[in-house]
Amino acid sequence: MNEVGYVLNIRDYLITLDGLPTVRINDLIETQSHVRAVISALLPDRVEAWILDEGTVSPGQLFKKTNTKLNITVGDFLLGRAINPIGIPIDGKGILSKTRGQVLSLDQNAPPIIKRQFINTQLITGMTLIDTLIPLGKGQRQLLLGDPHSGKTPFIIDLLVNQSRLGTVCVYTAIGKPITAVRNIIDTLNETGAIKNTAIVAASSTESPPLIFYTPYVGFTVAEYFQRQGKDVLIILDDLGTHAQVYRELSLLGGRSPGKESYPGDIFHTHAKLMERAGNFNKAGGGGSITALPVMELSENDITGFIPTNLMAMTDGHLVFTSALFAQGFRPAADSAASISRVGRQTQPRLQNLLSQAMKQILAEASGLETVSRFSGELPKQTRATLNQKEIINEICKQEPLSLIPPEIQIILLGLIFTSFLSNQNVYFLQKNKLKILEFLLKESKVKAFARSLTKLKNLDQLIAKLEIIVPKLKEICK
Amino acid sequence: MDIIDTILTNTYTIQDMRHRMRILKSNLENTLFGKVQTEILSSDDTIWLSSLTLSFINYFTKDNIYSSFKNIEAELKKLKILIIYLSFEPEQEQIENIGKWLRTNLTEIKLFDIKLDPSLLGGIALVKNGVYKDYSLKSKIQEQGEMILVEFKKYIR
Repeated sequence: MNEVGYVLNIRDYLITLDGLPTVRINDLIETQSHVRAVISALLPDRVEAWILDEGTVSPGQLFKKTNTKLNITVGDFLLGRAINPIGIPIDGKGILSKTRGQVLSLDQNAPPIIKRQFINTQLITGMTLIDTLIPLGKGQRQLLLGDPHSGKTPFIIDLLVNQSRLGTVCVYTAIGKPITAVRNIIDTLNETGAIKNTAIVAASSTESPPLIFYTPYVGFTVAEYFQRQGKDVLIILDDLGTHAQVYRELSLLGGRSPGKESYPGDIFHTHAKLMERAGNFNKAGGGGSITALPVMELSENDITGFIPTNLMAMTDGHLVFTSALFAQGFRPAADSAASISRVGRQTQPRLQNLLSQAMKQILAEASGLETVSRFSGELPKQTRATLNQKEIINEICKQEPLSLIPPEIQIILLGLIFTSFLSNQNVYFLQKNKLKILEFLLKESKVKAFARSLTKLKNLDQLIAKLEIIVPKLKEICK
Repeated sequence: MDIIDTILTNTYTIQDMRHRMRILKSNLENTLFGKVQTEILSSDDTIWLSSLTLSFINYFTKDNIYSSFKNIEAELKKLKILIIYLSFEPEQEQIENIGKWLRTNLTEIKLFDIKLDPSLLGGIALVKNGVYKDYSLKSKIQEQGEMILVEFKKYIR
């Protein structure tokens, strides 16, 4: 015995069927020629489904219930590969070797609280600005907000490359991006070698809206597979603004009542349910963690829109990228004053936390003084020193693309601001000598042991005293 | 429902029902509003139209013809339809026999829909309320495939 339904009408990729008495949402149905559709709504006398595959569907056509939910075969074979949401490889590297693969349902419930644990480990990004001022924890959900061309994609690429170096499994999910942008990311990750620790799930803007809609679900299913092996996973959802627009299109086509900005009433639930799948899990939950970075492209830096505020409400912080900072050469171009991390600080080592507080204090003081300085030609010495310190901090936080600075080196770099090495220097001195200093700190073998010893220090005074030891050597290098 | 019962008296398939509704409507429009459409009717259609009683025809007036047909169509949508898959195209006589048998044995079924599926090989497949039941030769062969192969192998030299 099987259940069948007959197509009553077709609107683009949305079909209405009668029959199929016991189907549920997300059940798969298919025609005799294997064109699949997924049940999207149950109405009193008919059901609605979204067509997933290419093929002709005509009124009166028969669809059979398949007794399977929307699912994907996941496995270690996904690392280093790029697939579309139905699991077909799109990277030109041939078919997937699906041995030891697991078939997992796409729409899984988020693990309950009993399977979660406190976020207590920092996700090292290798970027001074992020790791010190806006730190991220493993299992955190951090929103990336920004205008077009504000440096979100370069940041994502840097992050993926650095995470790959640190052994984190990365899942990059491209939701309705232009096909050239998807190709560009695949190529960059291939060139840097970061692809070996990354799985890419991409539905380009040319794919059908149902496929684009299911992309983040596939991404999370892949992430959960690796997380349940006890691994730390980073998932990037690029971007959820497009996802919301696609869902709006699907809902309006299905005749749902439009809500605010014409989005369907359950858009918050849809995104929140997705975000809840991230977290730090205990042994009962498989161990491992899923750190989720949803991306939201803004319009004219307006963070007060419906979807950005929704996403802010369901994440543990946000990084705001601005095109003004990007144009000034800041990499990452995140605005530290407008960004926040509600979870990351609890994961920072004590010394880094103290340093972060000191930096924030200088930046806050300097931003107040900057306004005053515009009206006065002659500034007091202390004011000039604070403004100079701000410029030096900004210069330290500017980072070369694809570079990774370990946290202990970040501490040395920022600590040097308070030592005799940088306290009497201006930003031009640092700009001139930054690469030399970095090379010394990253490559000198003695520095590594010295840097490790710093993590045991209890306060900034101890740090400054210890850093004075390497100041003569640094002065020599910068001569 | 009297009107529907009258139409259903010797109409068994959904295709026939749609066809007869259309020619009835066209015929009534010609009668009530003057010759609007000229359609050459088949002898079966002419016989069916002439079999309708005068009281049935007189029920329709210029004022109620369109609302009546709208109501009839709404009522017809509520009827439970049995979909029958056959491997051959049945004759009209066979359709009538099936229809009479169904109305005697399954009273809730007033109409059925014949669909052609030669891959069934023989027998039938039925769909009612979205549930598909396969009583075809194809499904029996698939079920007993291994046994049939074993039997065949006995005759291979």
